[in-house]
Amino acid sequence: MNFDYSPVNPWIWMTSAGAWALVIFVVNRYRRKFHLSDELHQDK
Amino acid sequence: MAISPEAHIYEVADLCSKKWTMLRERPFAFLLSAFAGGAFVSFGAMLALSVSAGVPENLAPGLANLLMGMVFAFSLVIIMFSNMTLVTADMAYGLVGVFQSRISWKQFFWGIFVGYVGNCIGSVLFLWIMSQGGGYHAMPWLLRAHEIGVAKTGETAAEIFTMGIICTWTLQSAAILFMKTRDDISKIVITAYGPLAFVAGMNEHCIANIGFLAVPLFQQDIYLAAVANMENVTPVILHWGFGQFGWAHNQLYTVMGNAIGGTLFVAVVFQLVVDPAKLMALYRKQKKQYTYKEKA
Repeated sequence: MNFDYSPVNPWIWMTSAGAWALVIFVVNRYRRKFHLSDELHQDK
Repeated sequence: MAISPEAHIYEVADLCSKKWTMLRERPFAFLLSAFAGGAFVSFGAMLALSVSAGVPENLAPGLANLLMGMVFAFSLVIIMFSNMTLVTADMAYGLVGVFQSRISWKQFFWGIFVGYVGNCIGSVLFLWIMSQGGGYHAMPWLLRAHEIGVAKTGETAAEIFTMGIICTWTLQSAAILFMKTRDDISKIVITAYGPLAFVAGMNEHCIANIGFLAVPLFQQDIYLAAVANMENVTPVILHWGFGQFGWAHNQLYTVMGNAIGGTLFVAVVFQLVVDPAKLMALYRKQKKQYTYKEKA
């Protein structure tokens, strides 16, 4: 089946989901490790 | 003079805090700023259409793209200097804010959604008003607007998606570097580079494309009447839906591409390049109080 003009192109949806999963994983790992805003609150 | 990388990324997070505080405390003002941001992008789309009509391709195939990019460049400059909202810029700023725990994921996605809605309304309204003006009903501009519309909506999903990623990679690099310098001239030059790169580079930007595609759709009846008696022209009918030559087809994959370019390749990279120990030290040193408090 040709998905070139379909709104449900599986390759693009999977690529997009994979990219966002990577972004969310990296950001959450960074947040857990460094707690930057907690640092700000402690300094107040 | 350029500031240090940790001070730079700290200021990006500060900007994120200010924007999301505005969204929480004054949501209508935020929506209005997104409305203005969408209209500002459409100013660029109008100028790009104006200067690129009638440019012969045999003169230089990229000349029309260069002209479009040069006049489009100042759209982002006026957005940044007026503190208005552009959804794709907020994707990068917001993600830096999430990195530094200034906002939550839920707040990030809500801000992106409201920004997109405001940008859409501003862009479509401006271009609807513009399309009612007689100047763009003349043949060179009718043909050029339709040509741009057919080119953008005729691309496959993969073509649009990849050009969407590249677009925000270039554009958000410029938007995030806006805060790297203190003087206005440097800010203008850096910021203008983003739209110049993505328009001249034939990329796909969701808000700019609303403009580029809405004009030929609003003017389609006039275009069809104008070319009805031309034997060498077989008009392509554009439409608002999904499928080839559809506005929604282009918009869907442009949004998906834009959402990756400005986050994965700009915000993540800029944040991770900064030494976290130095950034943490800056947090301790600044003792800066930001007003935003996350809702539980």
